[in-house]
Amino acid sequence: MADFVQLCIAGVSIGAIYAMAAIGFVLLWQTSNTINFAQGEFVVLPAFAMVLFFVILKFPFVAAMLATVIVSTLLLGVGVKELLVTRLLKMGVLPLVIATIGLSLLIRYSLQQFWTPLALPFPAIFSREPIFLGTIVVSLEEIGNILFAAVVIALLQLFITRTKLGWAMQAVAQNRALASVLGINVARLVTITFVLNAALTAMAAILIAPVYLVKYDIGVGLGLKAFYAAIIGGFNQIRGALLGGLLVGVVETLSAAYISSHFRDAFALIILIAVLLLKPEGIWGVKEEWA
Amino acid sequence: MRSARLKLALLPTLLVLAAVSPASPQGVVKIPIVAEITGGGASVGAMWRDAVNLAVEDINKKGGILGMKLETSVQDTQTDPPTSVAVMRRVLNDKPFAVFGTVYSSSTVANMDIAKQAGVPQFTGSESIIITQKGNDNIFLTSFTQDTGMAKMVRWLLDDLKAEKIALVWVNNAFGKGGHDMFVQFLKERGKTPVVDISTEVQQADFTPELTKVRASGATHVMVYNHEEENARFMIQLRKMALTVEPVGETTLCAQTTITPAGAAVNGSRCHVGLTAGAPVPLMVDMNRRFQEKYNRVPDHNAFKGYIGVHMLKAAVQRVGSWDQAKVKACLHNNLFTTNEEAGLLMDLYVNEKGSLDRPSFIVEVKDGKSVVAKTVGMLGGPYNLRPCK
Amino acid sequence: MARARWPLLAALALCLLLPLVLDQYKLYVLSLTLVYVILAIGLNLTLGYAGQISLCHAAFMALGSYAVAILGQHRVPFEVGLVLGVALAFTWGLVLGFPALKVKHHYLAMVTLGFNIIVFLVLRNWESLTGGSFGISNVARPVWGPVSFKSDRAFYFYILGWTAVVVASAYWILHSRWGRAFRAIRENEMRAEVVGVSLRNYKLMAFAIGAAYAGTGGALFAPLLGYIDPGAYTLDRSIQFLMMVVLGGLGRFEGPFIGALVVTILPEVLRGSEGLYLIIYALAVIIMMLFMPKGLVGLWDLAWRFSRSRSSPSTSSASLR
Repeated sequence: MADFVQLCIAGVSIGAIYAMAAIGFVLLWQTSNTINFAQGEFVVLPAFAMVLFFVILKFPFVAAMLATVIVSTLLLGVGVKELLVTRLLKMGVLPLVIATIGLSLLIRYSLQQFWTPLALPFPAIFSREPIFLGTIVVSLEEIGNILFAAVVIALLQLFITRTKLGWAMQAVAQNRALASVLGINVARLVTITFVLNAALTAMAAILIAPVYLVKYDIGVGLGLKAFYAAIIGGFNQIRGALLGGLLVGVVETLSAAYISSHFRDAFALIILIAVLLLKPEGIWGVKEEWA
Repeated sequence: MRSARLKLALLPTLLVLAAVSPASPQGVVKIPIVAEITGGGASVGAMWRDAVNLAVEDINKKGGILGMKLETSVQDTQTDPPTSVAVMRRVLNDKPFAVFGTVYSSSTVANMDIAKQAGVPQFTGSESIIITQKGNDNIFLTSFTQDTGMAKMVRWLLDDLKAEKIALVWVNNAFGKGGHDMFVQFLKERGKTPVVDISTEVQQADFTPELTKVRASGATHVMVYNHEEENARFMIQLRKMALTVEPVGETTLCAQTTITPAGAAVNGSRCHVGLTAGAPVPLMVDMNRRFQEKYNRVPDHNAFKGYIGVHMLKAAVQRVGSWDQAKVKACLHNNLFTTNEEAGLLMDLYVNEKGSLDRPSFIVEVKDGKSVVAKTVGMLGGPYNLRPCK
Repeated sequence: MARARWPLLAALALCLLLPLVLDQYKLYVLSLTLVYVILAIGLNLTLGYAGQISLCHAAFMALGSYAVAILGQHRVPFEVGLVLGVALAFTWGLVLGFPALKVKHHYLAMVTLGFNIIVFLVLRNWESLTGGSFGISNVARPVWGPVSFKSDRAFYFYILGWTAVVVASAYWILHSRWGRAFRAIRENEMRAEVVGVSLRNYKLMAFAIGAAYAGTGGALFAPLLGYIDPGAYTLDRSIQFLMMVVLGGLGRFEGPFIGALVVTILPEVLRGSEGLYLIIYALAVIIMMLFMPKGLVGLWDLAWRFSRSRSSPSTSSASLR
């Protein structure tokens, strides 16, 4: 039983990180029909930025964090939106999918080629001192990750449900044409969504750096998990992505421990396929007209 | 109109044919490096390449081999077996004397037959048992195979550490599986089985399932056999969960590429390693220093392997006394080479009939972020005889 | 459309004559290119013509490779393995095509991507059948009684034969009712249905035929390399095929040829640049999508148009397509 709880805590802690990436994913899909295959690399790039500012340039932690978020929102938010998405959005979903696959390769190989193919160390943000609760051992790192992610997601939810911009985003997500008729500047909103996504992935990067270590290829697995999470939970709901992220994290951990470590990568996929067949809009999603 | 289009269609095809082979200047022997410069094996291939180049530079500075200078060229396999086959065929076109690489065993298995057909001796950084099991007399390892390494490892674990309950955590690919199978086999020969036997994935982030299982098993020792980054993550999480089990491993656990990202978490781990930058062997200390001066980073086991490989070639050519590939291969098999004869070998080594090595190895312990040699372990077999080849 | 025939015949003649002068390395690269052409034609059919994104082309390829490798160990003739592998790939293509009927791009991308990962895991973990991580060595090449395709040159011609079969059949498919239906699906599903195209069957077939071509390519790939292991059939390779098809030109008959040539040859040409070509590919894919959705074929069209307008300035470019 203690082991079970231990595994669940670990699963939620890692799932919280998946959830952050998954939520960004969902936001992009909602407002701009962008399926971002580079979402994993959108986390990796800020993680390298964090290494640059915090470890190499020795900025204070908060300053490094801010700088990372700024770099991420400029490059991956505004930059990607202006250079790629604006032009491709008109051509439908497929070209954008392929372009983001290209973008993920570009970021990954550039980091490997121009920075390092090795894993970079990153100091722990929260203490790793073990805390004993009976036979369960946790550390501030797990708890901190979960809380940090919870705060970020709660703030985002507030932004979307309580601000004018958030309402406008929801309107665009529901019906672009109508939103545009209602006088909402759709193009500007898409940019804002990209910026939001980049900020989210930067936050995820900060959490991930100490746990995953910073390496050019960690985005591959991460992007996949975020993708699973978004689809399992529901591609059009923030709460769905949150649920999906946590579910993927917990299922992965539990199945490796109790069912088969050889097939650990398959279990989240099996859930995913089951969801696609039984409830394609996701566990907590809402049916879309085009589905 | 058609012909215009036709010409355009043929253009790319002509490009294929455009590859030209440069003429070789007199007195130069070509030894191309075929390595994982890009793709998943990039960090491994870079070490191998740099060390082979350093060895060649050293040899050329001292006048080359039998008056001939060595010349390298680097060919990238993209860590992709089909590409490695293409690249191997290309370098063989230039009629090299020997080929250095590849390091990843899935590539080496695919390309070794081609080097064999050409009769060009191949020096590889791979250690997998699948290489030596194929009965290829053209391939030479630059370290132990996993069976020699694991035989020594198990002997050390049971005899020196008196390990009672051993948990085994291994990465589920050709590297990890090969090591796993050998380790379990040698344990079995001593009447033991691992108390936990659990596989991990490449790029795995969370190791809580493994660690809870290890904890529940009551293991006294955990044998950690993953790649470097995964080892680093595993060790960080092992310390976080405050496990009392003692971590032991092979080269990858105590490698600098594990220690650097994991920091203090690896401290206290003990490993059996074939080659290490911290070895108290003056020749290795010297090579280590010069490697760092030249490339500004600490050489790892793959670097030592590349450096030693070139000197194995040198030692054999000198012993044969001529540049004859068949004779050099025959000379390398079942033969002992010593540092008295060729200092660049760094340590005495014996090449067996399969092209695998036996040589002394080290027990290291990680202390304060450095792996410190605690003990030198002799060769597994022997004593071996030195055989002339003239 | 018939004008595609001439470059094709010229390419065929070239492929027949070239091996007589090529050395082992160039012969191998050419063989590999042909295998990739087969694979790319399959993906082009699924993705380029019918607009169904598939990220599991390497998995279909694996089915072909493992069928010939496993059966070859039991001395079953190569062609039996090939046919079985192709049938397997075709069947799985049908199975995976079903979600394609219900869902849109991102779901389909996900289902196929998941299938690729699961196939990899099964190949690795089903040791008794597939040899697990250690793979299968010495994959046998075909032998027809006294005629052996064991030598590299003979096997090249064997691959060339299959390539011709694949190219011809693809040509036929695309110029039949099917090809028009595929294109109609890609352009506009609703309109396609209105004009009476039975979406269901055509979508399924676009997927399954693409998979069958991948199985063919995979079956030829295994003996060409001689050694296969699960690592050769990962998602990365599927993405490599995707890039190949995109670079060549989506939905263009010439696309796969150009894409396969570029992906196998560019690294060989840029050998001095070490890691840069991967970055160059990635950039090229993005630029293609942005400015040249037709891929390198588009470039070729442009050049051709240019050369034509020089000779006969009055010809309008509209006649091109």
